[in-house]
Amino acid sequence: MTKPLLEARNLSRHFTVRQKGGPGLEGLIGRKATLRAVDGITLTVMPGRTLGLVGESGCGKSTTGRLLLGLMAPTTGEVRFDGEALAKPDTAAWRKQRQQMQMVYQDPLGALDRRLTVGQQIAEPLDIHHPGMTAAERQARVAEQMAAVGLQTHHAERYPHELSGGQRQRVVLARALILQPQLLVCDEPISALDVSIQAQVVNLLLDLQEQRGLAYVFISHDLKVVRQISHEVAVMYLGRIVEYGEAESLFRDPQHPYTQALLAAIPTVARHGAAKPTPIQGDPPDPANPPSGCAFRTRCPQATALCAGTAPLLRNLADGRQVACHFVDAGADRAAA
Amino acid sequence: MNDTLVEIRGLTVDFPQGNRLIRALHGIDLTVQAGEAVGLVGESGSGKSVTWLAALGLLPGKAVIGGSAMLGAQQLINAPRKQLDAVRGRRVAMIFQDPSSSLNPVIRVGKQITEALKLHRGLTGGAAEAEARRLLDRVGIANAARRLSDYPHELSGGMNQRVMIAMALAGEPELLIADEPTTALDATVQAQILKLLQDLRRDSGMSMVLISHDLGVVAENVDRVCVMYAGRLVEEAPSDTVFDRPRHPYTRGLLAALPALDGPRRRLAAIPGSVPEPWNLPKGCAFAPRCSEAEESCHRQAPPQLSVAAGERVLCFHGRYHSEPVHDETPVSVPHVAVSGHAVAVIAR
Repeated sequence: MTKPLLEARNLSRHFTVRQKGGPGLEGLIGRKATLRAVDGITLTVMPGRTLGLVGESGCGKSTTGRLLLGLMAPTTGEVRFDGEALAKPDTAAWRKQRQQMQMVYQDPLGALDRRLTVGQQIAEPLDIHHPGMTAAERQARVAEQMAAVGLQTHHAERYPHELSGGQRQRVVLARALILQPQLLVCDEPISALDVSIQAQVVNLLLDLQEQRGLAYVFISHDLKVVRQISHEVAVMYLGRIVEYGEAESLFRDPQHPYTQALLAAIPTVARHGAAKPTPIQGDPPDPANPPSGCAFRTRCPQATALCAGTAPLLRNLADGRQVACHFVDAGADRAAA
Repeated sequence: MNDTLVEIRGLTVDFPQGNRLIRALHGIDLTVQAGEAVGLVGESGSGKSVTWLAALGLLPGKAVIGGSAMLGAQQLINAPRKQLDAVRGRRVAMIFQDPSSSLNPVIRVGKQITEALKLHRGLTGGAAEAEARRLLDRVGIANAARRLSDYPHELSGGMNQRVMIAMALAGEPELLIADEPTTALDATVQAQILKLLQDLRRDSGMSMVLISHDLGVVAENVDRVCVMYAGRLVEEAPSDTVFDRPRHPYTRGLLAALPALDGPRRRLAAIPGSVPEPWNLPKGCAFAPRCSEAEESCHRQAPPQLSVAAGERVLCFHGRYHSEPVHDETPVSVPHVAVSGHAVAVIAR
């Protein structure tokens, strides 16, 4: 069996924040509270495959992305890349590992340096990781990556502001790809782009995966795009995974009430004219002050006293899916065992 | 009822750049009937927001505006400020994408709503406060009385948008312009706000213009859709028609570029290229360079506006011919259709 490329086990990241309230000095500066941005998640990415990470703002999906790349130290748990634990930041071993895993952000203009030409920026990772490379070879590598993402040679002399949004995201991709990584963590890579351009970038990501066997962690709030691009999907709510499984079946037959609500909330062209499901009520709770038991119970139509008392654990269903809900078909447990 | 509330004719907007004028809107014709919901879709820079900012006199003074926008018998274009003040916020209200930057961060939300009530309806003191409480309650904010003394940062994004809607309702408008009202919000909250807007419309009979880049949002919430591209209205039709039988190649392209939530996954049909800059528009049809159906004539001359059926207009030489459903079911050739067992086995460890 193929070995996993990326494994995260029981990964958590907690922050100390100050919250309103308390007497005396605390009334002014707030009292200390722990914000569990990511709270014990376990996931696996296989080589050449895509894991979609979805959820609403504040669910911890971006923090998870940073933890997976070692851009942020976890409070507990560990990440293994290609069988090895992530090396300590700024060591030689870390730089070696980081060549294999790159990040793509939402806002390409913010991720690019306005004062450098596109060609210089795409070449920059080579300057850092392969300082001995000849200028001719460097140029050849840049040209190769630019062609791979659909940019033309003359774009190399341009500055970021001279390109369109879609072209800028292609530049960011070329820069991420130039070290021939095995894994890209893409954090909302197409959210800032127009609809017609989004499709271009989604197709490009799929083509690159097919050609190079790249693995992706694709972080997005757009479920339609996640379905299009992912093999597996993990749905997060308030720092935890509530449902995790193969994309096609998860979208066809969501089990967790939150996944169901999230899917029902997506406006689609296909549903025009038809009756719309009633949206769930309320906002996601404050992560620094989560409800007891199941975090979703305050908005869940099925919640009972059990949900307030005990947080449900992720359990395996017969189809290999994992769901954290007291009310999801308990019989499936036995079937899976 | 079929009373015309707003009638826009030949609306043009030019912005000065250096010593020349750049045309952003190329003559928009658009009507909104009383009680109707109209959707305006298009990509960034297509002119969907500028249309309404121009009609309401909200563009910077250097913008040159031409054409006509009638609200009943009243001409809005280049009308004196005093006349516009009697319209804006009162007969026509507008809400925007980012509620937290539209609200004043250092003033309590109750005060911001009562200000609007004083301005538009002359309510003060206890009467204004009671009405503010009623409005907050109406837009679905629990504990309305307590929330009046909150500052915007103490409320979530969805709640702030509800406050903006309450302020918009303060003038009891006949028309609400909602410019990307849910773009900054999470999916579940977006669904709540769209539902709220529908309920409000049903109860008050107010008209709505919903501006959005999200075809799904528009499809589910309006009666009639206008598609804009590069400062022109390229297609207008009842929403049932436009999503089932789009006529303009751009509309067809936008729909084909959208991933579906169910059914087989197919490769997205992306529209090649990108939206032209307003100062660099192609000759002929602005969409021709990206259009898969463009012929030589499309590159030479601008297409006529065709009235193809009752209430259906299309700006395309070939718009008359497309009336077939476009949902193709080409199977996917991307690697991820193959669902293999090993990943699932790993997860289930």
